[in-house]
Amino acid sequence: MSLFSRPTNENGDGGDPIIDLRDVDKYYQSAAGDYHALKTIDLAINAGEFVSIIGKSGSGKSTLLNMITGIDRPTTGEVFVNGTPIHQMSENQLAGWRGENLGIIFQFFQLLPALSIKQNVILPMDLAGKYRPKERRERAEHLLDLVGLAEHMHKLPSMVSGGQQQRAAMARALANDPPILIADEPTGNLDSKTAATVFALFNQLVAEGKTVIIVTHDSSLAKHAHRTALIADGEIVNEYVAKALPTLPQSQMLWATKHAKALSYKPGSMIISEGTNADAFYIVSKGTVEVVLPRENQSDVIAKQLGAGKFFGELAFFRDRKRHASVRAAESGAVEVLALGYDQLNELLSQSEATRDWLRQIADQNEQRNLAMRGDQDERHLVQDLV
Amino acid sequence: MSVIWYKIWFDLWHNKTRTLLAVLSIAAGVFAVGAIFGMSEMLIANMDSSHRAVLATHINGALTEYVDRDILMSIREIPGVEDVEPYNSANVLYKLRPEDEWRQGVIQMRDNYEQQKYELLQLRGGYWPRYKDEIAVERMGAQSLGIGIGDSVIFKVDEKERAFPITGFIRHPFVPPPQFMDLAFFFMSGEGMQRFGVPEGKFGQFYVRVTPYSEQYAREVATAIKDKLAKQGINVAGFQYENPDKHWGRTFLDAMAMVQQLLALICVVIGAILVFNTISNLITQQTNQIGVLKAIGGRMPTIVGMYLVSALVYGALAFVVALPLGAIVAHGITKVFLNLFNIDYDTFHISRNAVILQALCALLAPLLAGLPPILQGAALTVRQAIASYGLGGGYHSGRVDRLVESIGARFLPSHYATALGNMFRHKGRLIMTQLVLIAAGASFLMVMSLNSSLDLTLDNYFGRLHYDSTIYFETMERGEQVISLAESVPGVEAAELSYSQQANLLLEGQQVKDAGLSTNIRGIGSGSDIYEPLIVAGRWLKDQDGRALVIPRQTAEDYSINVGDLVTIDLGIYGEEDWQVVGLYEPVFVGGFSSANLYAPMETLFRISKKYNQASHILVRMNVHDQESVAALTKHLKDVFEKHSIKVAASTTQPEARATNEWQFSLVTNMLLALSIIIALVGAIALMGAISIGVIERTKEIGVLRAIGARTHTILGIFVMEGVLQGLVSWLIAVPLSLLVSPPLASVMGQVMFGATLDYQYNWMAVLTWLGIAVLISVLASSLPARGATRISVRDSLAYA
Repeated sequence: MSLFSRPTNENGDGGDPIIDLRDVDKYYQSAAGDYHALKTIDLAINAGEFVSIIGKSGSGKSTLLNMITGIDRPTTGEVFVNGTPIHQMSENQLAGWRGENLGIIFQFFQLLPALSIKQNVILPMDLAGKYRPKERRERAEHLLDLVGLAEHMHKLPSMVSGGQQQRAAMARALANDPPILIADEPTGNLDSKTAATVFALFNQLVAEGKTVIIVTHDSSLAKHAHRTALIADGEIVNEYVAKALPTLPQSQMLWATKHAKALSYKPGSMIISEGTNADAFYIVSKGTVEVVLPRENQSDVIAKQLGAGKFFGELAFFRDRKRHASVRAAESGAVEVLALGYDQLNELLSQSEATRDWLRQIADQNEQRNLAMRGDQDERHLVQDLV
Repeated sequence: MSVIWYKIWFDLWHNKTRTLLAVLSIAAGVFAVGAIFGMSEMLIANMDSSHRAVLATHINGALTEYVDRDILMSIREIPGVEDVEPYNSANVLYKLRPEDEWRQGVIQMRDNYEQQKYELLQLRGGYWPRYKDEIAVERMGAQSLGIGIGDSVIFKVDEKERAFPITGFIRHPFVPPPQFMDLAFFFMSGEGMQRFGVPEGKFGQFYVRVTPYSEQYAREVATAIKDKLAKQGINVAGFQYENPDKHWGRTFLDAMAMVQQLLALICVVIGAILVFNTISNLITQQTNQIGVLKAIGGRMPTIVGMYLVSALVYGALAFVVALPLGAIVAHGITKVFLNLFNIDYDTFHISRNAVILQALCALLAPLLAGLPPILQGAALTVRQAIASYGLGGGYHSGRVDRLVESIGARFLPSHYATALGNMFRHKGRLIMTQLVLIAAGASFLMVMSLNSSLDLTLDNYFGRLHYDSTIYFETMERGEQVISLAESVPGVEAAELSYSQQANLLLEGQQVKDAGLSTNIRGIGSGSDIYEPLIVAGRWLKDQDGRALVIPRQTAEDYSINVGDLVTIDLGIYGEEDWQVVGLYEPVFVGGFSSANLYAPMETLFRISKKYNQASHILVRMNVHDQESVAALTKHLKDVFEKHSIKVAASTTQPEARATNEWQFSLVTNMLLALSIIIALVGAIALMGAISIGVIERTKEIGVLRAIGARTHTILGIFVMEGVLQGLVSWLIAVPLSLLVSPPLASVMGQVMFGATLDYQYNWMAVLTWLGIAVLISVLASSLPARGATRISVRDSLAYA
């Protein structure tokens, strides 16, 4: 029996994202006044991606998840999921739509206590009217077998462990073969061994073509995902900033996201030239750049290739504010970078000495390598740092 | 089975207490509807059909003398007369054993038992009286007396005792129930009646039916009959009129049925409120599950449908329980009442209309009651339903809440202050629960006030009767002699003559066609203080009054008579004279077998009748007033009269009369009290449900309280305190509400059910009684869910989601 069908929009670069949040703001009204939970969020997730949304408690990650699932509505902005503008749907329409398009795994499992594990898995199929009754039962049994719960299918949720309940919840989420799975803190109540089992299942599902989005506060678990969206104070930190400067506090990452200037370069065009005055630090957000070292009476050497999430321009910051190398966009494609002025960088680093030390270390290492490269004509030492 | 159906079944089956409570609460109302509506329908239908079957007379005439059959049969010549049936009736004294006291009875005789025309007697055993020494007994009386065919009854015949064997049981359609009046009916042949002074072949009474029938036409024909007989020198003592289609007991039963039907519907409404609470309970418990269902694809119609099916199942089960019970009780009560009115009812019937009404109530009431909480629950968004609000969720701090908080903080320890705040947390649920509790309290207080009003009315009424016993003579007796004899008996404080005469009241300028109101005129002695009626207009009789009349208020209203008007009184052989109405009085109790008298100065009646100082009966005031002593003294008086050859026809005592009235009222007031008790029980269930919901909603709070040191008795106290506060608040509202509603209710109930103008008295003792009951109900109702709250562990409650 084939449990899952392949989604049509699969990991398509250039295709529409399967999840697209545009300018989403969410305000909550309370007795203490309005609370701005999400601040002009833009988020695009492609089909087949495994994305983790991480953030501290109260950062807005569950609210963000609720936007995607339709459990909550944006105050302003648009939410498109699998091509459907769910922000325009009524509650009733959303309920039916969710049954067909989403599989939701809750932090506290949320299995109906009166129904057996198997019945819980059959329930979404009954609600959606999908499959014939006999097929529903067979499908439920296969799904439970997939998650390793075949021998527990007739038990009530209260009679199995937390990990088993979570796997049952996963089976239920897969009942109607939705293209997208959403999991809110799926391992929050599990021990590490069980958590690993659950994540393995997620990976398996992604391999089958599902789009999986998980929310977690645990950054070590988030590393298992293809991408991580870091949310802080209701805003998404640019992922490349987060990748480039992982030791910065989240608030600083957010500050950097807001203050960085996005620049684009055509393939092959020069971004910075050796010897010129330096006033900015750059983080690559798209494409590949080449760090070029000119040599006297010799051809230039490409010291490094840097992909998305990598940075350059740190050496001049710690030295004499003059460029010690040139950096150009690779011929393979256009490049986008985020530029932070040195005063801005200085302000950032003043609040994170650890990052300053780390960055200085990187600068020292790069300087050593550059010097060595200028004297070494063997291009086998070409280092590629690609995302 | 679809998982969704399984869930519905599971929710119903695995919380049997909740299901049972919901089913019972609906069943109570549906049962009441079935029993009462079924009873009303069958009672009224059977009463009327039985009444029609006996060919009830339109006019019942009584003459002042016995006349030949032919004279009475000549009445058929009068236009409008369908036919005439002569009969005789004589008052007698009887006893079952020689050592027994004489009791009052009536012997009736028909011209031809085999070919009766009207007011058909029915032979129910033995045979019709044929010979002079045979007697048949009315079957209801026989049952009451415990006598059967072959037994003998001793009658007083010409100062001698004579026993007659009972040879038959006869059903008479118009006899008062033994519980209402101790008056046994017997039947003899014409030959046998001679022993009792009825000449053979002659008749003193007759039945007449008119064609076409109308009450007005019947009166016109009666006047024509009176005129025709008067031309032959025969005087009519009076006429009584009957509705041929409507049983005489209908007035009482219609009013009783109306009140009971209203109360049955109130029961249904209250049951529906309970269902509302129960389903709110269920929705609250399953809010989280509703959210999950919506998150995984459950649309609103599906979710609404699931819970409506549960409500429908409650109703269906309630119908199954209540239908047979209601039918059985309806049949039982119908049988009791019909037997009371001497109507046979043995075949078990189920009223189709009552079944339809029960079905509608059973299915519609829970559906309608369940709809608001179901729609509210189903309308919750997923986020609202699943989101964990932590502690204090759902508590809105409005003005009322802040006031309540401040009161609680001021007067109660903090954990009990929360009980006060908790009570107001869900105002909708509070209102629903309070509605039921207030209804219970108010109805209890109103019924108790009705009872106390009845008691006061009886006290006032009998308080105006300054005598304890009435002794009726067979013939007019010399006043001085009977007074002197009576007052010579130790224990008798005073005795007074009383004179009573049948009379017809005719209005000034009244058309001749109307035969007038047939009634009695009673003479009151000059300066007498033995009777003081409740004067509502004008005045009571005074010394030196001539032809002055005091008449009942209702009669004055019916005939548009005012104080000062002249009316004509037809005293039969004593002629017609004009009298002036000087006052109107309230007789208090009329209807059924009681009639309201006209009062006139005794001296004037003596003058008209020329029967100076002759008494038809005396009123005796004693120095003892309890039932037993009065009965004993009355018997002694009768023996004294008998010893002096003064024949006593009958006697009544005030304690007996009061007991009879109380019994009549108790039939209805006990039913009302039973219904208010049912409402109180339902109120307790409603409170239990509301507290249970509160326990569920505050599971996390309970866990936190436990975690920070609250002991079991504290947790228990919080919820019991909330229950008690609910009971107290309901009591505080029920009291002024009952104060407002009781007076008009007592007035309406008294008029409609008893024909009585009740003297109103609010029952303040019942207020304290209800306070105790309300607190007790509240404690008991809240204890069960409170105990459940104490069993919640910290771990379970804080993991509750």
